[in-house]
Amino acid sequence: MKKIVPAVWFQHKLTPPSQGQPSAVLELFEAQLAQVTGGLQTPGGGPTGSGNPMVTDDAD
Amino acid sequence: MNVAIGILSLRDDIHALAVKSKIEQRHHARCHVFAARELATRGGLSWSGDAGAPSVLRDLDGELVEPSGLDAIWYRRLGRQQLIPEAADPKYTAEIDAACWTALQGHLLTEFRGCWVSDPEATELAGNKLVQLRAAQRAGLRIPATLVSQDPARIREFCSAHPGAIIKPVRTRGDLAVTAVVSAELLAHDEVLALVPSIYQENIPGTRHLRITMFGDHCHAAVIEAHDLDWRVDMSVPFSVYEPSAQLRAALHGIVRSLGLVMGIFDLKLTPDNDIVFFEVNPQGQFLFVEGLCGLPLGDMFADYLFEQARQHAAQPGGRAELRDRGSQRREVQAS
Repeated sequence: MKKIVPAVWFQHKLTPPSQGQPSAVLELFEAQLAQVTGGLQTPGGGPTGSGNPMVTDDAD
Repeated sequence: MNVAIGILSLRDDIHALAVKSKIEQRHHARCHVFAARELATRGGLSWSGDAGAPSVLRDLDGELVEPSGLDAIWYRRLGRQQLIPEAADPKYTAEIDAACWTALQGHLLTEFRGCWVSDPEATELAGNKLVQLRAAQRAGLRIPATLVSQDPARIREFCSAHPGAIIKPVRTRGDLAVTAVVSAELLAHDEVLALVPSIYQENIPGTRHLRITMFGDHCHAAVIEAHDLDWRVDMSVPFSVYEPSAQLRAALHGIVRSLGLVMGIFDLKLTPDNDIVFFEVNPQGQFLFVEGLCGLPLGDMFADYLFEQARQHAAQPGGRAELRDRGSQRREVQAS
């Protein structure tokens, strides 16, 4: 039996958001930040496709 | 003056690590990051009812820190679900989560007497989008026509009255659920509409989105030119600095204050008629990407703000020593 999902996710599956475009400027900034924070490797490639964990983390 | 700051967050939170680094570099203050989800894997929490015994938390560097010695805590990320050690029986995951969260919460609420950024209880309440929308209305801001419902008949009625209405979650958990236009197919599935309440809103026209970062008296805004309903799907769109009016600043400050917060990250939209519509406020939203995309030095400014909150607390008469004594006396009263 197919399980039902919350309406938000039902709509999300019907019309998935576009993959989006990364921002070269933001990627450079993240790389600089990684150096400041002691070489932290940013995860990148989040669900928005922006590669920007500063946006996708906790989705807010 | 020795100033000590704590940041409660997650191990890989860039915001926490960047602000810690900036505080240490710019102010030479001690800054400890506590990984809220790693009590089960890293340990380090002890709380004592004996006023003379230390109550400590382990920070990311492995140091045992007494929260009573901190002047400010940035209540950044909670992570109520613990990382579970491989050796632990997963059947007890819920119990592990509950034990760790309750002990951490109780530890901080009883030991820490400094400045919260922002208060934990206020942060929890302010995360509720219904509460935020009401606060925005009371502050005089326009909000979209909104229905939060799981009643299929009322949802269809609302969407009929507001062609192009959008849907978004009442609360985000886990993966990113972007704002989307409600489809006829969704409206035809009563069992899906009825499963959980969702937010249905009027579709506000326009392509200029505002992301406004507030902390203390600071108010820094960026305008994002995006055709997408949800600008987060494409970060290559133009970002630029935006100067909010005094009236808008006052309204946003009013919302932050009424929610009991000291900071908030706002999402709003400018209509083609230059009307401003409030969407939501994130009590602990992301803001460093705005610095990366339009140059506002938010990281430095927030680090300075957090340090100043801590410095002011440390400078109070008696400072931390007096407050520590008060905490001990309170525990003695509770124990008697």
